[in-house]
Amino acid sequence: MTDQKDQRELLPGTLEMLILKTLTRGPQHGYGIAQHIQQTSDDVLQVEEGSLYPALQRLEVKGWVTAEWGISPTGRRARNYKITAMGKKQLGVEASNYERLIAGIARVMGTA
Amino acid sequence: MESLGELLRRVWFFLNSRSRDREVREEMEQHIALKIEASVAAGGDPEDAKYAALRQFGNPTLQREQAHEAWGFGWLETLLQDIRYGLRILYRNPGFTLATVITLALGIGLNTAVFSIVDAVLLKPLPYPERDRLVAFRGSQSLPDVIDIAEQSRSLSSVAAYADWPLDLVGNSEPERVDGAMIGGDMFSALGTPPAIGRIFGEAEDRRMEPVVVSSYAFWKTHLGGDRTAIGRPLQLSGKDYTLIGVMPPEFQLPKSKSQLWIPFRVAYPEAVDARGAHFMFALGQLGSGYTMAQAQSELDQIGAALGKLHPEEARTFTLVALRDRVVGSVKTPLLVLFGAAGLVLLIACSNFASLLMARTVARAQEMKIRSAIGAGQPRLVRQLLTECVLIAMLGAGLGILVAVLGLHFLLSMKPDEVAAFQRITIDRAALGFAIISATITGLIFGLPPAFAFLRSSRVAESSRVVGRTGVRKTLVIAQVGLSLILLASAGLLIRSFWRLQSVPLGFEPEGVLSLRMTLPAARYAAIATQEQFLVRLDNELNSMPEVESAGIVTELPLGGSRMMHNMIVRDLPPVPEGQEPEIYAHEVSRDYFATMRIQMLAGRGFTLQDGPKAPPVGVVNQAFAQRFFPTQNVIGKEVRWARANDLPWITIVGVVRDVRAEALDESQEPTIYTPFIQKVMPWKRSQVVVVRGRGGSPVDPNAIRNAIWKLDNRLPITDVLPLRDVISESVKERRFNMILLTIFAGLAFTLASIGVYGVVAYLVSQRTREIGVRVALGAQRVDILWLVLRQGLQLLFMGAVLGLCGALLSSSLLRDMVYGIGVTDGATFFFVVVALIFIGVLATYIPARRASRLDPMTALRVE
Repeated sequence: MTDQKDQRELLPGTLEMLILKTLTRGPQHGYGIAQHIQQTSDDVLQVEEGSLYPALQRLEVKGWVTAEWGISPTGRRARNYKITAMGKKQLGVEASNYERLIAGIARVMGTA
Repeated sequence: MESLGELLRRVWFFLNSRSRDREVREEMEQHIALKIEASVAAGGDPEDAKYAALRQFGNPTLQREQAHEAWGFGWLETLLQDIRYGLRILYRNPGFTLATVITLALGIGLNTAVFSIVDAVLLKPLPYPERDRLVAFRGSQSLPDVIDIAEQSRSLSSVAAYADWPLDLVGNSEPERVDGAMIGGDMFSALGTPPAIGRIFGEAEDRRMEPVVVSSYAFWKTHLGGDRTAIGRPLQLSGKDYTLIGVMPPEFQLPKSKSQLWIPFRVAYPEAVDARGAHFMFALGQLGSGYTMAQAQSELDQIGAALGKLHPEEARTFTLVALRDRVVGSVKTPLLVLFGAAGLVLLIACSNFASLLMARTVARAQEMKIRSAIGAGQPRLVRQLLTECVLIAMLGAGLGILVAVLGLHFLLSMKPDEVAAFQRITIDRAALGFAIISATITGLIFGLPPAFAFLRSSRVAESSRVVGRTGVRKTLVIAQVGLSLILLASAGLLIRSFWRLQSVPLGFEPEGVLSLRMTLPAARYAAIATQEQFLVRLDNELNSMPEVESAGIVTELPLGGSRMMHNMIVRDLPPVPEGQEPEIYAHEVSRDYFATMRIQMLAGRGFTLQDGPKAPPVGVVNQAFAQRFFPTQNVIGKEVRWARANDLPWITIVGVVRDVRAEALDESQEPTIYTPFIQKVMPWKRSQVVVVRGRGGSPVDPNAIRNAIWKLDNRLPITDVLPLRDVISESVKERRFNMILLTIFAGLAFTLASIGVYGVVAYLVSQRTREIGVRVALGAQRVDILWLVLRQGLQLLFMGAVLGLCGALLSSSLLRDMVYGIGVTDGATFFFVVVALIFIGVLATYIPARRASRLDPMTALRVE
């Protein structure tokens, strides 16, 4: 439980980056994005799935993703999100910021 | 930092917010359904799967709100929500809403109307480019004096004068009377305003007798269709053709004048060009650069002295004042008083507003507690209440502006000329801003404290705290009642005074009488003989006109604003030291003057043909004279003489007439003596008023009289042609204005106080609903409950009335100057006012009392 809590504290901001990255693999609906993040991180990142939606709305209003309704493989109505060109650019920016952040932390931890 | 695209997207989302919220909700539902499916497919129990899915998902409601916040305009949406909610609350409580809105509207509307006047008259700068260098002459001036001063003064770069002159416009349709003015000197350049179209005229054109006219913008628009080609065309004014040479800019006016057309003096009124004694023009000037008013004044004194030497009988002093002071004049203080009174009314309105709000806030205690319980923070609740306050304030302001417009229209319809001619007074931007700002401030100032105070107590969730509120409201209402009583009493005093004034016996009958003023120019009427000759011919001429029943001549018209007094010695009375002889009003009249004015002869006789220039001098006195000097003897046969003029003969008194109101309606009667003009002794009394009574009560045509006079001497200036009724009405104009205004204020205050009483009593009833229920259940009759509530209301009224009476008695001495015929503590007025107050107060109390008495005990007892 505490692990999940700690991880949740990392996620504001980075959640959006993760979503964008996920979408580079192709259009996906909310559930699918959540599944992907969880599986790809080997269950380390357990997202409180509801919080995806505010994040998705933010991405949408900023124009980094677009969305439209479609039918899922199981025949359900689902809203599919697609990354835009602007989103890809933003992803690049955020990714490099993130790497710099990680490198900085690693340096500190390395010399600690 | 948002890009344009993002902003546009936000707006788009906002407009579709409802469907978007729905979609997100659906998305989440699908998401959870998929999770459950996956779980079940993996072999889990459906029920467990559902709980697990929901748990992992998080709080959907919270997520939905956050999703909305991602793109919503947070503060704006909250505000809109508050507003919508506020409006709904107001709609559901029409009584409260109406009461508060009307209260505010009255208070604010009144103040806005008064403020408009104050702004236009006192605050706005004069609309002339050289306003800071403009000075005016105190009193009225004559053209020759103005022209001479203009020529001789170096410190005044231009000097000019105008006289209002009604013009008969003949042309487009039927003849129309237009307000015009004759201008002498370089008026337009003195004021500094350039024409909007064409050109203006000045002294040069006037001397050349060019028949030109300049029009105001408004006149050009309404009468000439705003047609630029109208320049150069003739206008027929009062029988002469004038060429239109220019149009002034919009809003341009001569100071203190309503005139719309301006013509040169010499062209319009050649008869008066040399009349140095005809003082009827408003004169002003512009200080030359580098000169101060003090310098101009001292130079003017010298010029005045020099002119006095040249023309001794028209010698006078000239005084300069700032143009603004001359224009605003005596209106300043009453206006400020008015503003103060309006402020008082607003105060009453605001306390009503606060009182009502307090009641409302308390009544919503429960609602507030619930909202607080489900998570609304203090700030949110305060914001909600604030929004409602401001909403009411805005509604009040809106209605108030309407009230202001109507009120201003009404006020201006019977204004004193001082205010009217100043500038066009309308509700302008400044006044609107004033209305909205004062509404908002009122809403906040009087709405916040109750809100805050209540919220502080709501934390404790005690309803007993509420009792404290009652005390404040009761005090407020008592104060309101008291204040409005003071205003009512003042208004009552003024009304009674005015009424008395109207019924003051004049001593003469003004109906159907025309008056006009004329001055015999010194140049041609230096000697007494020539004056008498002319007046005799005039007298005969006028009295022989068929439409004239009787015509008279007098040197000073009653209530006409001028008076003449002499020191006189009365024979047979104990001698009086020199310089202390009694001052007696003296008028020279024609034989038929008393008959024309229908002044009653009480004893003796009037003047006859026998009283000629060589006959023994005679005089007629009034009652006041007889009572003052010979209370126990017969005044007929007594003699008087001008003091310190030993070579003048004694005048024998031959008759007594009824007292005539001379100075103003509210002044006491002074001893007066009338002498026939045919026995004139002083050559310098050359201005006369001619009074003409039409046959059969119908008024005579002024032009006919003017022409008759001009037939005898066609260069005689004639001014102030007015029906006598108007002269009298003029003399009480300001009084009437003050009275009407104060009455309106008092009425408003009274209305508001009544609303206040009603509000408080209704509130007290609601507080005691349970108690009333119990009483009824225990057997109390309707009447008992009625009396119970009435008693409370009466208590408030009584205390307020006592307070108000004390206040009124104390403050009524302020009105001493304005009251006539009654004391400032006139018992009848006060009594009547108190009775009216109690009556309306009882009515206001009765309504909630009645409601209380009809309460169903079951409902009453169930109330929290």
